[in-house]
Amino acid sequence: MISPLLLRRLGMGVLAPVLALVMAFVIVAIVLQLSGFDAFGVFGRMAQVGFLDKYLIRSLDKAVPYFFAGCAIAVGFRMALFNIGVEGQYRIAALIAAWVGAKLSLPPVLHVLAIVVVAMAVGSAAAAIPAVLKVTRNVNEVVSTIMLNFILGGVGTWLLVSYLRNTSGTGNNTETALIPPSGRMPAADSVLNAIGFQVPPGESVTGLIFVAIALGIVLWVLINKTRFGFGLRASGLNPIAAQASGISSKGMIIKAMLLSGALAGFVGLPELLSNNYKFVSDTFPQQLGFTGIAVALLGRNTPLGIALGAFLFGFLETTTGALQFSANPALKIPTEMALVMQGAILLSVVIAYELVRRFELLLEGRAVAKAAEKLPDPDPEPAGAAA
Amino acid sequence: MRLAAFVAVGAMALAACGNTEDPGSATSSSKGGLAVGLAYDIGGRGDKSFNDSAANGLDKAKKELGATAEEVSPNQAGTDRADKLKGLVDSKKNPVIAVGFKYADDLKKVAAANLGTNFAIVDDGSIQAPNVANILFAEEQGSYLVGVAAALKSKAKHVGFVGGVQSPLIQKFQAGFQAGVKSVDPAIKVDVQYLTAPPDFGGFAAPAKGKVAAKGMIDSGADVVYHAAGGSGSGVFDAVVEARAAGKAGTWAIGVDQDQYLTANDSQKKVILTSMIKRVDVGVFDFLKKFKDGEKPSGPQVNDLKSGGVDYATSGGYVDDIKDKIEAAKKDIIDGKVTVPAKP
Repeated sequence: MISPLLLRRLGMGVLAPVLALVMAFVIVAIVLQLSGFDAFGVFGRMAQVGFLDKYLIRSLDKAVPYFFAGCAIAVGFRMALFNIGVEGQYRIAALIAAWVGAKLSLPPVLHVLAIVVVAMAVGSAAAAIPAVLKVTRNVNEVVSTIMLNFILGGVGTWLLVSYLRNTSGTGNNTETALIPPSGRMPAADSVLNAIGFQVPPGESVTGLIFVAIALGIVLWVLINKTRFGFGLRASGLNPIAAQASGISSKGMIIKAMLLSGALAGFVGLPELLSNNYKFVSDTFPQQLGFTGIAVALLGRNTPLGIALGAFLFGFLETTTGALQFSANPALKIPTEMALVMQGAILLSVVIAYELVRRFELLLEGRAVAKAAEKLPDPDPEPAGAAA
Repeated sequence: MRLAAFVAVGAMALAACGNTEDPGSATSSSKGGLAVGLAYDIGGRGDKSFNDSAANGLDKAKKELGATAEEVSPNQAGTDRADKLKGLVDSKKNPVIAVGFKYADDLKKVAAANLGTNFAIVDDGSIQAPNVANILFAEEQGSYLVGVAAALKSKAKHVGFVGGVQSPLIQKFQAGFQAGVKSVDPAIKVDVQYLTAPPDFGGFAAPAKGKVAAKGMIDSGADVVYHAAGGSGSGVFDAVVEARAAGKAGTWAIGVDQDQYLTANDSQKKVILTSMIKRVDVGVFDFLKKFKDGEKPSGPQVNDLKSGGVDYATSGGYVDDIKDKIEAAKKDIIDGKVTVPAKP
């Protein structure tokens, strides 16, 4: 039997994303209309193009690194730690992993595993710096991780230019040597075709999408069903209470940051293992760490939510990109409009969730008040449910 | 709440199943005419530098060859370069030109998958494919000539080079400049400084950094400073203007890419000795003209002193007194008597 309370929860659950999407649509429509574009034409075209095989597949492929970045951020967020340093962590991790991957010669599966382990280890090591600073010197992690983004970027550049670069290349790019075929990840295309997708020629989805799915499940179990996850959530909700009940806050900070850094190590892997097989200083994807913050917020720090958020961001990028080639000038929006849309959605989501949360609190308060009136009544059930 | 969102997305996906027509590829292309696809580097048209130079070549092709064009540029994160190239191919553009070596890896893949389309890439010689032309420039040759000019004008026997970003491409400018200076007098000292290193490309757009670097060189005794630093160059000019005002009368700056005497402000004009001109517009236009004439250019399309793809500027008349010697050096390079190194 569905209790009225569960029904209300469900209603609220649907209300928040619907409210957010409506708000985002309105904001973006106004911006588009003011910039001289046909807003409804643009939305229509995006919906029409976005679910064609070609663009759907492209969005999926783009979502994979966003998902990893979102997870790396979310682990910190769950205990109120803001690891803004995912950006620097994934870039240095990818650089070192690319170099090691090109140097190693190992059998196929082991080679890929070795690259993954190196990336995770370097990401963790980079995240350990702000963790140690916070635990020992109480340095705010927001400040230290932002600063470390610059420092790690500089260190990476110095390493690449002075030691790690491939000097036998013929191009103008500053880059590491190619990872040999044994260290590459097979594409997910054949599996996707088998389960009903149609991957068109010229498109490909990284095999890491399965790693992402597995990682999402592991992360969900880790956060929701283990002692570590309980400690993480408890420290995030109320650090003092957590400490009083025997959870070491310093230990949790270190563990959470190391985990976040290890997850950040995955962000650059799609580029390394299934796209370009090398770290190119000028063209290696940038800003994924910052996109991850948005994706984590959008996904409310849960793996499934992050997956949807990551797909949405990939979807916006591919569909707005496709609109650049539209013959109709009223639909030919600039690439930057994808950023405007992402920003509008993010803002709307944050506002909508907060509005719904307050509304829920209000309703709950009323329910409690109602239950209190009935207190002399011999049946105390509603009061228990409202808590 | 998350379930609801998931169901909604799933329903939309299902609703779209079976619809395989691609409106993205249905854009018009002029029948029979020259339908060019041009992918700029980040920033696109209007950067007053590299992209604009390519745009000038395209505009000339529009006027003289009747070309139509689709022009695109990648997002700030640079994650969609391949998408842009694929989009140009899908909308039936031929040829497709990528401006800048950052497109190299993506263009290689897209070109291999679309052998029916002709491609060109500016500043990259690493791709070797039957349907790819490499529009290259002998920056070291032009830099050699301004190096000769710098050496002849330097009374202090001390000159400087300010590079925007420490990359192999800009090091070609450095190598040519140093060789040119040393060809006049091996004893002349050459200071070299780069403003930033990749992935920080801010060195091409940081006049303040350019000014500090040039000022440092002038303070340590250099009296001619050559910059290959894009937008940061105006800072180099300002440093020289200030040095002149402070009494260092014989101090000069040398510009790059375009004839910067023509675009500088009045006070800067007085200090711009010459400029190393890199005609990206000529490279792009020549490629399009060959294509229009029925040729399918592929492989290196070298723009050097001989073809006029690189040169030195004479606006302002400040090099009139040494023009004979520069012209002699130019002739030696064209005749093959002098080979200019491309690596420092």
